[in-house]
Amino acid sequence: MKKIYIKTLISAAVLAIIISCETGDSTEYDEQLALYCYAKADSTIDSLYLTRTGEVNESINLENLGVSGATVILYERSPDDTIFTLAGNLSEYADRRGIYYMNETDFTSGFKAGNTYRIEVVHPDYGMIHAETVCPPELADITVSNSATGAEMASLTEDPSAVDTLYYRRGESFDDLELISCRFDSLQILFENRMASFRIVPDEICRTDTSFWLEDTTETVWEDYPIETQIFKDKKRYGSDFMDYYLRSIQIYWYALYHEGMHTVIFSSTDKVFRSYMEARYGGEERYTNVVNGLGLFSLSNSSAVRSRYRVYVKSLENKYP
Amino acid sequence: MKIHLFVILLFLSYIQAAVISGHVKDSSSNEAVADVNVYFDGTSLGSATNINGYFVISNIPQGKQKFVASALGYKLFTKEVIFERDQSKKVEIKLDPEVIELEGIDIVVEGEGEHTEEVMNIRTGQLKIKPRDIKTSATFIQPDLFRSIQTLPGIVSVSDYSTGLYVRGGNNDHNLILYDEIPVYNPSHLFGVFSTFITDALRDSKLIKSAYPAEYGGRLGSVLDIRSRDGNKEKFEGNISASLFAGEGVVTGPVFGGGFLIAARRSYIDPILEMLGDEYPSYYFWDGQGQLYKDFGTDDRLIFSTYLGSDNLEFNQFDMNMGWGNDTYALRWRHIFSPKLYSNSKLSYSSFKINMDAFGSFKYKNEIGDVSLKNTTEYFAANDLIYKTGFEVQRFFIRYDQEFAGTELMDIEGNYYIYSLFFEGSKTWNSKFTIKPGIRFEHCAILNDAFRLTASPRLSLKYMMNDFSSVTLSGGRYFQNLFTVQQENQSLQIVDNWFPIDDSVDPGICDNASLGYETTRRIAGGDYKFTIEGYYKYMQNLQNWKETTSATDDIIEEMVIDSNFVNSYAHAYGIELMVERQLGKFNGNMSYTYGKVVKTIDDPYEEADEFDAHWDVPHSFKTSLNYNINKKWSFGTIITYSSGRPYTENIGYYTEILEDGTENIVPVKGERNKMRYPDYFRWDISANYTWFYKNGSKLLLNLSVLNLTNRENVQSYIYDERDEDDTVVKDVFPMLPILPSIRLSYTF
Repeated sequence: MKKIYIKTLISAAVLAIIISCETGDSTEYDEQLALYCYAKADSTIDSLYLTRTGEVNESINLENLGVSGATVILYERSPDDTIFTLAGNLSEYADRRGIYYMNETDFTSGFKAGNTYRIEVVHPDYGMIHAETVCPPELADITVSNSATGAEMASLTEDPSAVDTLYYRRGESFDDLELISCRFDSLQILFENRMASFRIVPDEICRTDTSFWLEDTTETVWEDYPIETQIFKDKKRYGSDFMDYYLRSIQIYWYALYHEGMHTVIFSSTDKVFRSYMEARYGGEERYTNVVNGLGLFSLSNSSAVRSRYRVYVKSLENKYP
Repeated sequence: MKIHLFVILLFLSYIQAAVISGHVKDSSSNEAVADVNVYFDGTSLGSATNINGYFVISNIPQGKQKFVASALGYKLFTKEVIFERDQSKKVEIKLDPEVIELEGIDIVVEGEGEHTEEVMNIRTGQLKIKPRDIKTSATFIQPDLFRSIQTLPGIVSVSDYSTGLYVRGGNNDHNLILYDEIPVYNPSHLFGVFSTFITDALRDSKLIKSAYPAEYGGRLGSVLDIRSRDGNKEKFEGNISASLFAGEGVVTGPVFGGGFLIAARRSYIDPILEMLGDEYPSYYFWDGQGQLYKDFGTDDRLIFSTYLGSDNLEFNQFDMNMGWGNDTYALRWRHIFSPKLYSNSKLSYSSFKINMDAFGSFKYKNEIGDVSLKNTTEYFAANDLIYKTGFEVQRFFIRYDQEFAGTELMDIEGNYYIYSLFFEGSKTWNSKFTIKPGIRFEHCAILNDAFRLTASPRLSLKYMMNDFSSVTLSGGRYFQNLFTVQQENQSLQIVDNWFPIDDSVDPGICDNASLGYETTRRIAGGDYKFTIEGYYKYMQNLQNWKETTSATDDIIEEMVIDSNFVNSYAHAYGIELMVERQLGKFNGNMSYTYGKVVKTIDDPYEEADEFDAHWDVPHSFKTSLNYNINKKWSFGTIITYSSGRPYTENIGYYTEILEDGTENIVPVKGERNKMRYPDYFRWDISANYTWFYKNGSKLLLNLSVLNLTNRENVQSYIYDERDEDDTVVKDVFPMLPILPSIRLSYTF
């Protein structure tokens, strides 16, 4: 009997050694470049962020990871052309490491719907990365109605002085409160696998910080409501896989909004890569990238037309926070 | 054709003579006892009881015979029986439970005749779990069937927080879980922390780890067959128990000439949570189990059984209401056409529903319903020849809705049907060699108006090397038409969402085989069973949720599996060694398992590399030991030591810049599942003290401590916290710390 116990103990010890050997192998880390560039039709590139990846245990703020000294070139190709032509070179801001821009004078035409654009980044330490996308067309046939009154709202194209008033009840209006009802050519979006999006931007007078969204989610007001504010920050976007939303109501989440005053509602369409990026972002940890040999996103949207902009006066029905 | 076969079987059953048949029951509870050896001493005539405790022995010679019934945990039953020529006897045998607190009395299989049952009963990869063992072992707050199963060889648990079962390399949804023959889809409470069934209301449970017979179908891996207690038709008895988390009660007794059982359980932490305020969620769950049966003569029994359970979570801070649970109902009819022809029919309904409202704008609903009509007929042609056949018609209802701020993200609804037919046979030669072939046909009318016909052959072989040792070989092809949403980067599923396959993908297929050797040896006065089993599985058409599928931007209106899931396949193989002593003062088991699961995702956008599945645990050492000092005191210990599970390491980071300039830190992932968490170790202990009262009642005090060494086992790593140097801190999300628990159980 004693022998059995000794054998058992020895076997257990051997097993423990075997088991503890199973730790797996670490994967080799390769430093890569990441490029982020969001630009709008008819505009130039205001900010192209060029950063590198950081290794585990390395400081990861944007300043540390910004990459200077790269040659960044924008190429353009119209649907009729077979080859790209040079559109211009980007320069790095003198006081912002790793952030590049293109002078308006170098790119007077701006991004044109239907054209393909390619950004090439060459850096002596990292080699070349590049990304391509097609500038999307603007949303077609937009009509917007004030859901409270049912009246169709005039875009700034039709009437530069038109203003509609939207009322919200803070704290209660997070529920499905319909403020605006919008109609646009969803079939076009559907067939081209793009997305439609809208955002509401306060006028300068309402804005006390550089970002409206950040301003509205300051910790002083929203420290107790982190999840709600996060949802609020996710701007409403519509996918393109379904047919039944030709007429679609838009609910704006006023829960976290406490700006009364003049705002602009902007409707825009995105390119295909942005749609893929958004899908991946919600779907898992892996991010979609259209950057070859690197990471990040080069995306174009089209909200340049004035007719996709509406002026609204946002008014609260009560003066209290939720 | 089927009707003709039935008539022939019926006719044959009447022309045989000198037959003894009947049911074997537990004398104290009147519950049926399965797998009892019944034989005539000194002859090769014998059989074993089926799951309902029924047996038949035929071709009995005229004259006086010594009838013997033996089962582990029961006193040996013997009786002299005189048989006339062509006589047919119906009997009801009651076995007295062995009092385990007394000196260890071990039943040893020896002498001629006893092994007859052994050779007929092919048990490769089968494990039986008795409620008695669950209640006295170390428990996580509540005695739990699924947690007890997790301590057995070949079973992997991915978390202390989950009752999920990963059996022999199969995924969590590859297990067919049957409660009184009713399929149950998500049998867990509190997001998997507890399983649903009330232990005191269970009779026994059998886990067939792989290569299961043709009477079961619809899953790739294993079968967990859980049987509730029938109810005592002779006297009232019951049990009340209370733990730190929940209280439960069971009452059983005679009614309308039959028996009933009612069991209920409810957690009671919700008043405490409510006192803590809105910052904490309010949560409770409840279960109800019921059984009612009545015998009509000696040949018919009608049984109604039900399980109802619900979880309820409220979180006022997030305006969240969440409710989910199972409802099952079954009406079963057992009929003995003749001593040799035994039939069991069932009409059942099972559903799982989950509803959630949150943030005032998010709505989520998932429902799976299953209505089933099934019949199984056994024909005991001879002592060494049994036929079994049956059919099943199942209608499934699936609903899956998601809505965000009035926008529908998912809207799936549909019915589909599966028609099954199976045949099985079991033939023994010379009390040495048994072959058990079977085949199961399934006609699956899947969504999108398509259908598939599948044939799953099964085969089991057993060879008795001597009275104490046997070799078994089992295998077959298995299909699965329902699956749950699986993500490789999520080891802890909160709730399983079931989907039926459609015409865009093929059903899951598993080809598997297992080979086992089993021997019983007497060492130092005790009987020890040594088992060694190897298995191999090749699993195809496993569906994984596409990681690039949007959860908020697309509406999914049709069940197009192909567009939302990616196909994968996997190889699983392993070897299990176990030594077990079931009786005596000192009993329990020790096991070692080597098992691998290597998976490949067939994603057109990714290179198809092999990787270890997230439940791949190559080495696993488990031991569960009990020591009964005397009638009052007993002690138990469970030790688990296993390899760490694989995970995908974050090897770096980069800054993602959103459209509005916001920065996010995004990890750079290493190779999929290349790294492993530290090896897992947990040592649980328990002590039981029983007070016996003059009126026959008793009070059991169970004290247990989980994770006695307070080892920090890793559930996962959390990376997204930044320290003052702007570096990402890798924090451990731990599994359970040291956790003492107390439970009182009063039986009357």
